[in-house]
Amino acid sequence: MLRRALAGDIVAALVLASGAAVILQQSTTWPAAADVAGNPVVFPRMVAAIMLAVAALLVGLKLPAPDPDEAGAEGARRIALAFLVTAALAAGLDTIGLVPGGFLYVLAMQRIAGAPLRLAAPFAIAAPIVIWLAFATALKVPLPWGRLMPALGW
Amino acid sequence: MRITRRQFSASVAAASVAASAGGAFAAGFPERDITLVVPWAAGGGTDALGRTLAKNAKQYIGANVAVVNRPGGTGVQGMQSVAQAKPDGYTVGLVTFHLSSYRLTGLSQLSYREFEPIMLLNRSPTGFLVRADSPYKSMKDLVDYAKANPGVVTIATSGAGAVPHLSAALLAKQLGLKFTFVPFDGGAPARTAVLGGHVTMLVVNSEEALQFYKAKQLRFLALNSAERHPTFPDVPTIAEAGFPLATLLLDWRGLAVPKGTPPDVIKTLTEGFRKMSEDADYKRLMDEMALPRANAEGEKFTAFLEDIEKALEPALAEVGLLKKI
Amino acid sequence: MFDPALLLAGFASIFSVKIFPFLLIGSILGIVVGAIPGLTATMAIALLIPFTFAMEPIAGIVMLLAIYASGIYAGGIASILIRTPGTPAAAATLLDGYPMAQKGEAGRAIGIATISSGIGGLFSALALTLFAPLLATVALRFSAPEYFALAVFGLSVTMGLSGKSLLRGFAAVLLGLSIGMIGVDPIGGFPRLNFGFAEVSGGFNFVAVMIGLFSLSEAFRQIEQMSILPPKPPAVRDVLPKIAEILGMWRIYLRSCVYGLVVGITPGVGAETSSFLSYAETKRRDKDPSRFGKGAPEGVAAAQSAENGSTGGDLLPMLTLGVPGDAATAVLMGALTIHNLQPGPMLFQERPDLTHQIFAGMISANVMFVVLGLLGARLFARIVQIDRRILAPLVCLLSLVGAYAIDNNPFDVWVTFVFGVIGWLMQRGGFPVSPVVLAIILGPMMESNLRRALIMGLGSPAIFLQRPIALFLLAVAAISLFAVLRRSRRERREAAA
Repeated sequence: MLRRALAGDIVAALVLASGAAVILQQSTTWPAAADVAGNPVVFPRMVAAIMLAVAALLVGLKLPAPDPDEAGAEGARRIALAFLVTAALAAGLDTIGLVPGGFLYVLAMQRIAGAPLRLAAPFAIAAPIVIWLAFATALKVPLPWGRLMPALGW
Repeated sequence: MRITRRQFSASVAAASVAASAGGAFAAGFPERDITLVVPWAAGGGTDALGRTLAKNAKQYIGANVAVVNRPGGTGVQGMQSVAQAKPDGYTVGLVTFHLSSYRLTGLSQLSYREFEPIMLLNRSPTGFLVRADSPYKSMKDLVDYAKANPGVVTIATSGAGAVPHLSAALLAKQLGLKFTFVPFDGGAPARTAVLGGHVTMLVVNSEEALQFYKAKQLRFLALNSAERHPTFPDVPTIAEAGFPLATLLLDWRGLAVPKGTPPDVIKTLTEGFRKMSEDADYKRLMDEMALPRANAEGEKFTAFLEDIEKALEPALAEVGLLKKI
Repeated sequence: MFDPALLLAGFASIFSVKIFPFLLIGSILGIVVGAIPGLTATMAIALLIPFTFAMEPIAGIVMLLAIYASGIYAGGIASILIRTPGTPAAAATLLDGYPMAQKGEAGRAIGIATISSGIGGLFSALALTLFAPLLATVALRFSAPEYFALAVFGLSVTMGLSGKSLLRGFAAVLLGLSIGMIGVDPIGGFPRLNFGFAEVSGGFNFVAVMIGLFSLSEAFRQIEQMSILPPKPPAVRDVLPKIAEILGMWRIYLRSCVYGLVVGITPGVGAETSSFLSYAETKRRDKDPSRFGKGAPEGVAAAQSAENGSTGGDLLPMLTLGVPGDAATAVLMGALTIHNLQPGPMLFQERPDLTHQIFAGMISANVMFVVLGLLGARLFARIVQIDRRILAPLVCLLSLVGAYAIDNNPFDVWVTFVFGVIGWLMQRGGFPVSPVVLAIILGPMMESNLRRALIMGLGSPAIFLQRPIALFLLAVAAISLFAVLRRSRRERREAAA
């Protein structure tokens, strides 16, 4: 448990340190405007320096672990699938459109979450249609209809 | 941070543009709604101008003009989207002064060359102001003080590289003064800083000071213009105040369509928008906002844009913002 | 200047047949868009401006004010039910509102949120009505050094929110600050840290980031832990909070209202900052801060009352000085301008009738959404009774669609997804996500005002010592940080013992 907490803090420290490195490196390319509101690199470099300090403390202080989670291997499988399916929706939303894409997405996620098909199907069908009616029809917020839909004659 | 908002109705118009793409135009232009892209946030002066202009469009051009706000990237995103739109006349951009400076400040390649200019709508002169209880009664008082105390006079401007900032920098250069510039995110916060006594002088588009001029909370020292302003008749021009400037920079707003729009469509648009800009409601709003109207169409607008770009280059170099790409 | 007779006349006109229906429509619409993630009051106001052209100016303005007030309030409903802030301002509400709903107290949480929003909103509307000119002079005392100090104060207070580890909170703040730097330099306007991606040339869409961090990450967590979570929270109990309970929180309300007002009149920061500030201070001053984050009604009360407490404050500089307090009031200002009403000192002198109608409209709008919200609370609360295996995927879809809807931009769907993953990782590692959100909001403001303050001081940081308000805020920030540090040390020692 302690090992995992430390792993989280080390990842965070790495993120902060590399973020700081990027800011410090990039700031050398910024135009130091002569007469305009001070030097634009001061604040970002200040933040970057603090980021480095906090990164060092995160590794050095060995903070107590956060609350453990007990979902285990089963949970890991679920979350990996959920990420995958969500990324697929983000990639395909414009092409397949919200209504069919949303149906497949909700159905897949509900199955991953362990809902029986009988319970999941009605919600998976209704949700994208309700969202479409609320956003696109009633409130006139455009949502992706999908490039496939016209090909299907819709 | 970017909190965006959008005109739903206008988006619908945009969607319908996409839906019926590919149709022939010119003959029956316009046969559907026209979209006017405002590259600044809803609620600003440019937005108000665009919306009032578009309000009575139907009776003058035969189609509704829907306003879409596309703010972001100091106007680049909105103007870029116009430059890249289908050149069929259904997308019109409300372009602003920043279009003259993008290429010079290195913000974007975008310039008037990517557009077919339709017309200039307004030119705003810069105002030099102080708080009503300030010891400086005239431009000369202030210049004398600044001469004796270089760098001590702080100047609030509506933004780095905007016309007021550049005008004040040109003045400083010509007179050998040193001002300390404090750039804000627009005229309103700059004005508030001067009203609160945190900064000495306010240099913004003159219309930004209207309410506070009327309420006698701010005092004009001079107007950076060749002639007096009808709304501020008692304010001397910068030359009358004793400091004739070699270069007069003016803020501007105008209309443009993407390069390659057919000439007869441009002609229809020009005639339609000319009538819209002569509408009583629009003229009243412009007068009440103290925005001097301007009319330069087509070629004359292009010539104006060429001139301003030439004048801008040395001014930007002077304030250290010139970064040509 | 305040004039009771004009205010009465204002109320009379608001409750006339010609205007009242628009107040009602505005309130309902505000609740709807406020509660739906991705749609904000700001958007709804911008959407409706063209419709107000055909109306009498005051009818249109009252409708927009009602959308503003109820939209800010209703963001809290989605926060409580599905941990999705309906509007950015509602992010602080979910910290205790969502745990309350998970304990079966969704109805009670919504009830408290509604009444607290009403109290905060009424207070700020009355303050605006009675003291507008006086408060305008207070607003003028604030400038760049004070804005910077306020941002530092806000961040230092939020850092301690998670309570368990100040350092992890600090790391979250820094992550937010560096995300806020992506896009353009806030003063020079040159592009920075976008690595050539046009999609982020204006920075990340903040609402998309927020939906990912709060809403999607929690749905992911539930899906991960589905096997060990109960299928649904216990059934809904009482909806109306008891009067004694509300009265017992008077101290919290007083503090929240003051925070809301002060943050509100500061241009550039609004409800999203005041709600976090008030929440964090309420937690810090509580006898048992560890109750917070686990469903303490006081947390919901503090967040919601400060949120709506800033609405009047945000309107004030817009009406009196012509400087909008936040994005929504900026759009409102545009609406006034288009109706040929220029906000500024002359508005009060030339059109006192109209300014009093605006005051009356704002007061009425705050009463209106309380009535509507309490009527709907039981209905809204049913949502949490849906089986978790069904609800969590629906929340995922709504989050992604909401992100798309903000700007009609598929890229924002990716932003929400990536920040959903980041939020999930942060939660696992014990890092709080709220400081990230607040730092993204406050970062650019902090940077530009630090630079402005230094120029105003002719390059010397001594300006912060010479200005009492700025010095006071910075001192309070340091003290509150120190207090949190000491408490977390003590707690750790006790835990070890």
